[in-house]
Amino acid sequence: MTFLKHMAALAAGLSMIALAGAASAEEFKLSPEIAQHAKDGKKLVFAISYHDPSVAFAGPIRDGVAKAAADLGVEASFVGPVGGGAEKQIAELETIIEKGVDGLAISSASTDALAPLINKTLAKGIPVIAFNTDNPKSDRLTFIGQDLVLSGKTVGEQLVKYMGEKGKIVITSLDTAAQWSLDREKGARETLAKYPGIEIVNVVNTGTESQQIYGAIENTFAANPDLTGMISLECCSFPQIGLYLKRNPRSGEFAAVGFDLLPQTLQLIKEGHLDSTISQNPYAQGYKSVEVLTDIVKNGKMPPKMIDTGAEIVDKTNVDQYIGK
Amino acid sequence: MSAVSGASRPQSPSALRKGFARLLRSRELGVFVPLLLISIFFAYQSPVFLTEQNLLNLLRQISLLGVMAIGATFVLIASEVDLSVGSVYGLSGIVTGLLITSGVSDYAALGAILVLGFLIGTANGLVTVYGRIPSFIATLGSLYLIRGLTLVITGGQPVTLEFDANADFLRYIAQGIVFGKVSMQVVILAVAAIIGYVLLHRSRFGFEIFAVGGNEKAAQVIGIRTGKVKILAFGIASLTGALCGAVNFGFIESVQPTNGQGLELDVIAAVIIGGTRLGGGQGSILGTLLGVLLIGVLRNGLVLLGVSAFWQTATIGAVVILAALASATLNRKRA
Repeated sequence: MTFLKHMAALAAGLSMIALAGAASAEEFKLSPEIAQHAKDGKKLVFAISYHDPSVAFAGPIRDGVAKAAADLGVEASFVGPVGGGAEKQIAELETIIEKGVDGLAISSASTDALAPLINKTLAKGIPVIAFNTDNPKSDRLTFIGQDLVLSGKTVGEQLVKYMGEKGKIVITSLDTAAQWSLDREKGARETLAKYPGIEIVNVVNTGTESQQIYGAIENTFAANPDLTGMISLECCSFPQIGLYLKRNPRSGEFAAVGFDLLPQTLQLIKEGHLDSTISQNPYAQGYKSVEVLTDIVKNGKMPPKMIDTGAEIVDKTNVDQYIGK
Repeated sequence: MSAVSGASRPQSPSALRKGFARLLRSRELGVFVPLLLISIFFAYQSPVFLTEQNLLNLLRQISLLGVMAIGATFVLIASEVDLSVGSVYGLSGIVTGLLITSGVSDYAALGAILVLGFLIGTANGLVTVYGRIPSFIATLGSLYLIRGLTLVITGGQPVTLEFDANADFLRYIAQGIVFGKVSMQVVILAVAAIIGYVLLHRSRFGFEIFAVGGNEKAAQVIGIRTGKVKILAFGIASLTGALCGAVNFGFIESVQPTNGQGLELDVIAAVIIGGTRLGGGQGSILGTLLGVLLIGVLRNGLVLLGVSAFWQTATIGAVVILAALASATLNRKRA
């Protein structure tokens, strides 16, 4: 009983700490030290923490961060846990905060795990914004990125454009349980629900290893020889769908739509094996993160609740302008 | 293996009894029975499972995992473990890609990567044997070191094989088809299995591996240079990782620097499910191949049945535990 009481007290204490940290964007007050930095014209120091800087998608974000830092005369480091992991991301951020930072932009490895840290940091008067992957459970000052549900709706519309209003499809994702994947899937399902002639046969978790991804796609086609379309919810299973279709051409019309601008994806669109892809403009996500933090600290300008970096559609008609970029 | 060769001879009732008794005693039975039951279940549930095309796909899908598992079998029987094979696989794909895109011929790139793989394995072995630190720690260190270097080399960006790149040989061994339908990757697995079988079960080196893993001190007493044997085992394991990384690059034609993360766990799981003792001294190439096949059949069959993505992951985990339990129980009874 005593143990239970201790646990209850601990839980209550932890929730108090989390609540104490909470502050809405309107209530946010910059810490006097950071305000003084800006006033003295000191070079501002920001950290942009991405949930896994080792993935290909992080490259353009890093470039955007570096360009904005150079343009705006601030110091912005691109950090994050290599290979992912909320605990590693939290530990790194705690060290950065301890060392001293004028603002943070965070793409959370886990919404639940990062939210208390974000709120505590805001309570200290350090501005925190979310980018790429939102953290709606926290009081982050804004979210810069793609509306994931909306992008899911867009990919659904792209599928209908190329496949028509009837057919059997499969959705693939390298991590079907991840929040971004669930959001995009939700959006795609919302669009496709308007077309009773379209049946979603399955959602396939491909895993992240390339042989496994290709194998999962191959097995999916073997199990469903009458498929007429496929949606990939991310960067990395999409080109492998194209590669499969290149090696095993379909006799009838087949629609394949997905996300992101990997070089192989663009080449396969150019060759006609994939139909269209949606870019979430990672460069802009990186650039805007630094720009917004600078605005908050230097100019006291609070951002809107969300800054949508859009969903550019790349297909055969405009793919050439993206190849080699 | 012995049960199979026994079955090919003319059988008298007593020979059949002996063959059956040998099968019951074999270490591979623990994985063979679950594999058979699961295959029957999938064949019953999905009309696609036993189609020729699906079985050919399945064989190709397990080929590279199989080759790496054969390499890992040597290390595990020698009572060591190699956690860096997934990182070697990742580095190999990237280096092969970078060499070819910079104009090096695919033959030279493959040769270089195989040498590099063997050297990495040798380094793992040297650190373990002469540094006297557990291979778990030594190879955990190289897992991070190699993965980190791969990220540094690429800046986190993928390497893609250009469509007009001069890589016909690499494409042939990765994508080629022989006998009209069999993937070259399956041929690579078959060759690796034969070499692995001869080395492990029919050579002096194989005897030494079992001796070192079974009782290292006793092996030293009878004059086996145990350090050299272990270093060579690590070299073989890394060599297979490097080969598979390059072949994978030739197959997928694009590789991420994070590719192969966690692959070492699949490799070790396949070997252990196949009846190799984690403490060393016992194991076989046939068992490893059956372990790899079990993992491949599960992945293939669950997708064919349209099992939801979340249940697929849980089911694979549960079957791996059950297969390992079956294998351990049978082996205890045997002992």
